[in-house]
Amino acid sequence: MLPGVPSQPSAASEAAESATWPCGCLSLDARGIVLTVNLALCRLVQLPAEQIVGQPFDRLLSNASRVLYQSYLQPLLRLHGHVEEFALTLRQLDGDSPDVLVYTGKREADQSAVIDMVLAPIRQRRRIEDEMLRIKRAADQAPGLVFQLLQLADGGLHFPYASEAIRRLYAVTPDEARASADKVFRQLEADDRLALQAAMRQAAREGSDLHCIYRLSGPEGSPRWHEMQATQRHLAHGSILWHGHIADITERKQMQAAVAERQTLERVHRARNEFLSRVSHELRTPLNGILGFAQLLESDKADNLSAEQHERLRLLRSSGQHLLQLINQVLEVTRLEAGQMEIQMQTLELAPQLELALSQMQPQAQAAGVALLPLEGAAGLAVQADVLRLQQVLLNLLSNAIKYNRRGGHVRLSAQALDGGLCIAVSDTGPGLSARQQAELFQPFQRLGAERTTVEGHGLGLVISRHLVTLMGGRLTLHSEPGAGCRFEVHLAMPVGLGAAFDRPCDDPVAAVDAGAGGACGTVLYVEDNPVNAMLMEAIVGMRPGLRLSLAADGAGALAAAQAAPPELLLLDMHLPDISGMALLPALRRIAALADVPAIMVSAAAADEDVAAARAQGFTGYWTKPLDVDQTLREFDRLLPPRPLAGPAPPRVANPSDSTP
Amino acid sequence: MAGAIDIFKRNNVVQRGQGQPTLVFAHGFGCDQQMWRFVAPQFEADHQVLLFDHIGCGRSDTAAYEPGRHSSLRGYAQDVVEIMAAAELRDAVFVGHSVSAMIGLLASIAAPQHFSRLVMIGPSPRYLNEPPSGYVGGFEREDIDGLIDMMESNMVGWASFLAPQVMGADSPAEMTRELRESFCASDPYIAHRFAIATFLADNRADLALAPVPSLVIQCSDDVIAPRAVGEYVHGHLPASRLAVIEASGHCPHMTHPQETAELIRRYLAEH
Repeated sequence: MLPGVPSQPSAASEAAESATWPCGCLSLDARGIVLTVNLALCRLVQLPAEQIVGQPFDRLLSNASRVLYQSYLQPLLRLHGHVEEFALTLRQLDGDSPDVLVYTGKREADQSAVIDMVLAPIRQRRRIEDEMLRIKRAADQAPGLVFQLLQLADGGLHFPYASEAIRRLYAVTPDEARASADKVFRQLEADDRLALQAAMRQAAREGSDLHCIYRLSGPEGSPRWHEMQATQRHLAHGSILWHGHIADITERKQMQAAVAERQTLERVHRARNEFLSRVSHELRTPLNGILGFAQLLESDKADNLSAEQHERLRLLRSSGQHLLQLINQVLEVTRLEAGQMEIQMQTLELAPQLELALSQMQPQAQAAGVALLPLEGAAGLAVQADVLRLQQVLLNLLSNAIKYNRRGGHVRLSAQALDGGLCIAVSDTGPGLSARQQAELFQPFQRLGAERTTVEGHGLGLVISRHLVTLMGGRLTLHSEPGAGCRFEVHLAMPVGLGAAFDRPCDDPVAAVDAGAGGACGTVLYVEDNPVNAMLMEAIVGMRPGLRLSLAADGAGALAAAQAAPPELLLLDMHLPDISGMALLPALRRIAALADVPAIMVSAAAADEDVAAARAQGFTGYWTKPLDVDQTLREFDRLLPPRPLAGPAPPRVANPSDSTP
Repeated sequence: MAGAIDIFKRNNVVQRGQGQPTLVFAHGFGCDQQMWRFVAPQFEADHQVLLFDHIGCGRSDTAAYEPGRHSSLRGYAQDVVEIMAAAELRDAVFVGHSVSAMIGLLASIAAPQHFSRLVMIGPSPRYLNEPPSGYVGGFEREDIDGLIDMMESNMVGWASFLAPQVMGADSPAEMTRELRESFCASDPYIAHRFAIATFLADNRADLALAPVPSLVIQCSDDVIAPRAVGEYVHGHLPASRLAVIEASGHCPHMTHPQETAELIRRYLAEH
């Protein structure tokens, strides 16, 4: 008996022919009902013929394949009569769903249509297909475009393969790209298209990889950037096959542009700071002469100047002082902005710090007719701060509160514990500030050329104060309304545990120095190449009859002079024609008599790191130009005290001092 | 909105015949307007007939495919509304096969002025089974993944040797190529997204919103839209009639064109 079970006699002979064929064969009627099957098909679907014949064909298919069969294969067959190489999956058997390749055709038999079907299992091909599908999906899901580009000898370009990303990157379908690559390359900016062509020619000539970055011509001013990389293979007849990928690098480009812009800004900023720092430094040197001699003239005992001349001299000196203050502030701002300022935090008892600031501002307040109200609320509070910087901030705020006030007004300084921290407030009875003025207040240089021209401005004071408070881990805020005065608040951290012992302030910044009338006594060597500075020092030294000054204009002269007559005090300028003051000191120290004498660096460079470097080099003190005549004299008195008439000389071990006379 | 000419070109709109009401034929998933070649001509003597291809199918403009818009059936419904507006149709009869039955429903809800009746052939508002509610759509989620796999192995653009050869070897090569490109052609990328939009859609709640009466034509034995689904659709549409064709399959307009056309004609006459 044949395995095929014919339902009609006319089909019997045909079924007999296919019975032993090594692929599944069946025939259907026009409605899709199975008429005959062969043995191989029964094996394939693991069903006896009786259970197949008379049933709809799609019962043999997986759910997914039923959809394709009904919605795609059937219509195709009906419209065309033939379908070949159509892949379908049979219904699941023992966990396995065999894939088959279907060949089918329609024929007329006995006035009705019969559909013949051949089903060939494709297990091996299915595995290859799965593998290819995996690769295709990987290529299609990748963010970039993976491609094969065929370049014909006549220059024609096609994408035999392009992943789906081509739709997103170029709004072109893979099919369109296969027909021609023109639709893709037409989108490049004209210049970049030429550059790409040149790059392809060069890579082809040199046998190297292709790498090209180009722009797409877009409607607006923000072009898309693409990057193409490809390897090449030469084919027959001068064709080249490129394999590679294209990535949209617009974001990377924008990021690079942003980084470059930021770097440029930073460079400009740094250059500005360096310039300001250098200019400030250069300006301090001539001020040394102006201020020094003005001070000397004022204090001349043999006074033959008129009262009017005295007043002019005072104006000359106060203008010079103002200029010096501005220069110092510029220097300080540039150092703060460059992050070069170091602070030393310590635990301080608050009330003495505030009282000290108030007492220092008393003369200015009196002169301005402004009352400084008694300190409020600071008793028992402690603060974490740098003692010098805290004073600087307090003086600045109080000074502003006095200046931007009205005659008869007052300034209130108060402190209170607040939200686990500390709030120091300075309030005034001045005109207050509008919102716009407040916004501009902390901008550097805003006050240079400010609106409130009736009062001498310190454009940088607040900027510096805010920087300093921030450095100390706090913040400086302002509350103000026009007509209601200003209230500046310094918020700082309180020390952990109020019982903590206070650190001793390292130095009392305003400790009065007794201007001893007895005067210094001893020999001084000043190494200085600037004749004006040398003359000023001569004049200052001339006010202490006990001092004898010798001068040298360079390192060689200094060594010769020191060897001839070793001095008891060394004053070295930083910049000398033949050697730096820094390097000169060790050379001088090698002279036995100079091993322990105090040595002072006299320089217009006033940065902390300059002072620290000098100290590390063995300098015992650091005087910054311009010199203050009185303070310089006090330093002389301290370093070279008057000798008692009898007894041993006091030890000459000078305390390292970075106070600036 | 694009002009009428652009829209006609976009969806490969073909208009034939004269007479009211106009019949709009919308093909289902898997093929294109050629599916109607046994039914549509029967109405051209008395009616204006409008045929079109969904974006990505047949000779539509694949570049008009918008991944966002066409990720759900509402995007396709929007296309239909634009086509009917461009053709200035009023009170037309929309004949939708399979997924286009739901697309037509959504379009009629969005712009009822263009519609007078809906004819749904093998509709399904939800293909997936839903155990909690007891709804049986006929498919599990894995079946849909399997469908995508099957489609890809039959339509992958990069391996055209896998594409079905619809003509025999005796056909002239040019003819084969021309026919292959024109019949049930679809862009693989779009086709598999269309499949996802179709088979993961859930339009059960939309049935009650149908603004016009409808005829549901159902095959007695349909594995894609089982009879129970047809009855569900009929039961949830506000004014519908159910007609069952004794047949196995999902495309009665191809396998039983005379019966299908007759059912539509009778419905038009009675309503």
